[in-house]
Amino acid sequence: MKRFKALAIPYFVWLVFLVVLPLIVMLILTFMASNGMDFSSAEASLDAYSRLSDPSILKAIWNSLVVAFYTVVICVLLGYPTAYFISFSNLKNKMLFLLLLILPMWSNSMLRIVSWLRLFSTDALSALNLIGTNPAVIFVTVTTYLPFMIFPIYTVLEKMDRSLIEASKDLGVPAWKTFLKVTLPLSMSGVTSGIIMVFLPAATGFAISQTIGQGKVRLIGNLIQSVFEKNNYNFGSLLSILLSIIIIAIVVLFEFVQHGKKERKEK
Amino acid sequence: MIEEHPWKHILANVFKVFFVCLVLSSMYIPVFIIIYQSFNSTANSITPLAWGGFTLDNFKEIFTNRQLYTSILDSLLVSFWATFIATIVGLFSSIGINALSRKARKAMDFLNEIPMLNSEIVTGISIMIIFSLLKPLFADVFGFTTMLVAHVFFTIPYVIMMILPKLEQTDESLYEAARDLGCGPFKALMKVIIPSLSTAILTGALIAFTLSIDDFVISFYTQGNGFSNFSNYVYSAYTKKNFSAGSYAFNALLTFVTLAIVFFFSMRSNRKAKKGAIKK
Amino acid sequence: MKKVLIISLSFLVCFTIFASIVISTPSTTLYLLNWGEYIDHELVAQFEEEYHCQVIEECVTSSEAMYQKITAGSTSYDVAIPGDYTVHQLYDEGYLVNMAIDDTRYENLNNYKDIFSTQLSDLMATYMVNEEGKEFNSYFMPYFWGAYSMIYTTDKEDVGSTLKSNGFKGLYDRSLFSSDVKIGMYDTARWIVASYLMANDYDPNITSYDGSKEDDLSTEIKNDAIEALQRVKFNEFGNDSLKRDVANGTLDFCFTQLGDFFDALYLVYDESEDDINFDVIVPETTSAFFDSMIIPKTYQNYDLANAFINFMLDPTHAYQNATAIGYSPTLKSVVSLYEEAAENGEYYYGEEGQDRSLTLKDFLAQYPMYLNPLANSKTVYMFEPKSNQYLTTCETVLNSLA
Repeated sequence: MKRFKALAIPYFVWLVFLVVLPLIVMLILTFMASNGMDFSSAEASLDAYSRLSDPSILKAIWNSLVVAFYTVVICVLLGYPTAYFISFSNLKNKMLFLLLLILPMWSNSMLRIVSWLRLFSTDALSALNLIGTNPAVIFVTVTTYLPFMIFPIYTVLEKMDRSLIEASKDLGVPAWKTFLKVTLPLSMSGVTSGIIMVFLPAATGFAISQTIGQGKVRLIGNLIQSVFEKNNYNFGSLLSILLSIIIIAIVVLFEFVQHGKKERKEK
Repeated sequence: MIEEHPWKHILANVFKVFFVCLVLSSMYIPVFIIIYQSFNSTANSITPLAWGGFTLDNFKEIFTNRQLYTSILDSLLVSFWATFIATIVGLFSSIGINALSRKARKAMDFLNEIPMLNSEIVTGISIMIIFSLLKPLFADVFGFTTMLVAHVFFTIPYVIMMILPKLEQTDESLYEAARDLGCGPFKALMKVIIPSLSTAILTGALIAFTLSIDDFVISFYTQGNGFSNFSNYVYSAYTKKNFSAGSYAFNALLTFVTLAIVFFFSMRSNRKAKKGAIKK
Repeated sequence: MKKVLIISLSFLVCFTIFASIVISTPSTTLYLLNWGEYIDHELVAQFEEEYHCQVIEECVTSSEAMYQKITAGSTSYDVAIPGDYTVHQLYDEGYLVNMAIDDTRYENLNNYKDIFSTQLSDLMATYMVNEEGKEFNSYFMPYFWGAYSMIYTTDKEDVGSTLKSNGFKGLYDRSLFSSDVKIGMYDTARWIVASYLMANDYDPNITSYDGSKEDDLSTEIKNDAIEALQRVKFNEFGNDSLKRDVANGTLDFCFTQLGDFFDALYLVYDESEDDINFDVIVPETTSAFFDSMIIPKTYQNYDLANAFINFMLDPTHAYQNATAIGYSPTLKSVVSLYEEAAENGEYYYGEEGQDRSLTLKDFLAQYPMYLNPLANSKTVYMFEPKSNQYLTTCETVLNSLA
């Protein structure tokens, strides 16, 4: 089957065209002062970089990381037990349960966010002043992305070799210790991919913070969106590149730590 | 083994059921609100969620409100073609990647991960910038073309992620055998390898479709010339008085239809399973 | 499971083919860039029918976004309806087309402004001039106008009276009200800075307290505005949602444009049986605004764009549009149509004999600012176009709330 090598070439070209090329264009844009994508009056400038010193940018990045961090933690705390209970239950129709988890995802996510907004602004709940606060944004982000946490964990738990747990039980190890020493480490790969899948959209989205935050919760996504809306492609590109670097650094660091742990164990 | 107290067992089960229900309800509250609103005659009133009486008019809106139905059709159009193209391109690219040498493969794996690791907003902006460069040549390039490219772009990695591991497990001798029996290389691929991947291909296609139809951020940056999608319609209109309550109705309809299909097939498979059991 | 997938996929295939047929029906198209809720859709339908075309409308929430869409956006629009200072900026940068408005109806270009309300024409003569001090009337056609104002609840007695005596100062001084008062602010950075300046009795166009107008906002004003925003802690930043939230009691008052109030008023009449529990105030010192129909240089269908603008300038159409949208009409002839209709005993809402109805006469008596937005105002400014540097600084002020 080695002869099919050539089939990878079109996709490679496609990726270069849509991943590498935009990155180069964006990088060039950051060193310019242009009117959007109109280069007729463009000139070399470091204005975009000088704007980075604005404290509000650091604040927005920090706030995004805070919101994403809490979202991930809550998703793990809610998602892991759910996946665990379903996977280890003696229910006959686990498939049905899974479908029950998938079904909300068939509703448009934007409409679900708007529904939360409407619910929060009813007379009964508006007294709580939820709208426009970080907790409300985190709550809605959790309910939107929770399935992305549950599914990877569930899949790993289902594939796990149950005889290991039986063995541990037979050796008289208490249930909680079995969980900590056997089940949890073996399901870590599911948790890891769940964390990445929730962290990414939570840290970089702007729809939830815009809708539920009502202009008072400003994340890096909102900042980028508003900068592009003001036709400042130079600073916008810089923020986009910065965001990509931060996200990829966090993910790589996270996987590195996970990987390192595994290797140490294997030794 | 030590006998457990039965009440302890019951308590644990009650807690489990309670916990799962709590989690489920947090995900179902917005779904219930959507269904409630789809039958509510004052779904878009100033007082949020005020019940104005039962109505089916909202369902009529799906077909009469032009902004709404064009956005729905746009969504379906893009998602269908994106799924179709992404699945085919993803399939053949997987076969190609699978055939690469170890080093080249590593580089490809990394490149393929970038669209998944990159935030949606940066992906959307990247594609917008690339096509803005083309705008002087093709004035009305934004719209279906840009959105389709963007959706194909961000769904292919998921298709590959589904197919590649299955491809690695596929026995290469199957392919060799087909070749020995006189099949051309391409025919052998079509007749032997691809059928063995059918489940992975279908799962990949389903994931691609689900992601594509629900997408907001990437479509936000690639829409244009009157071509948008449902999520963007909701985002741009939900604060407005002419926001169509048909949006809720459409979503509720989708939920009902999915439920019906799932219910129908689970009933049938149940019956089949019972019949099988009796025969044995 | 596989069967489910195959069936649902084939269902989708059929549907998509159907969808492609519906969407690809060819027709001439007019791309309209507009604010939300800012045109009567029946009128649009009528235009589509008369000219056998399709109007595709795209909406934005700020003048700055409109500028971006016109200059660098993904669509080539035929008609756009930006606000005054954006029109000015677009003209300065050469993005506007000199319009060919129906000569048989509006005799020559210089007289275009005669068809618009006198007060508005005066403002246009002061503010809408190019570098040589000349007007560029034929590049834009005023659509609706009004003044920056505040919508407030009448449920809390002191709110209205305090706002009346303090004007925009009320936005930045919570000590004037009881502690639980909730205030909303428009989420457009430039408007926030302008509201802050007007609240402190300054021209909204100045860039430093000494009254000069430089390219960038002085650090002093910037820091003061940031400090004021952090102190006052607005309860909501929004656009279309603000008026609704005052109407349903979520907010007690908000900074907004006059037309938003009339829109909300009609909405409440239309949707609920509750009493009207909110009102509007145009402060003595305020700023006027008007939005205009323009044809961007990137147009695709010049004739249709002109036809559309002519259609909207037609007094009967403009009247219908104004009654549907609620913003103040710019055409003199529409004002007289309103007065005529009021004399004829027509209704603003409902019909004779209905419990819930309001005659046009009562409406105009109760809200004289509808036809005459600046009736109560002594000092009237208008926003001037500003440099990108300035807008960036305004954005920093808003971002400081992150």
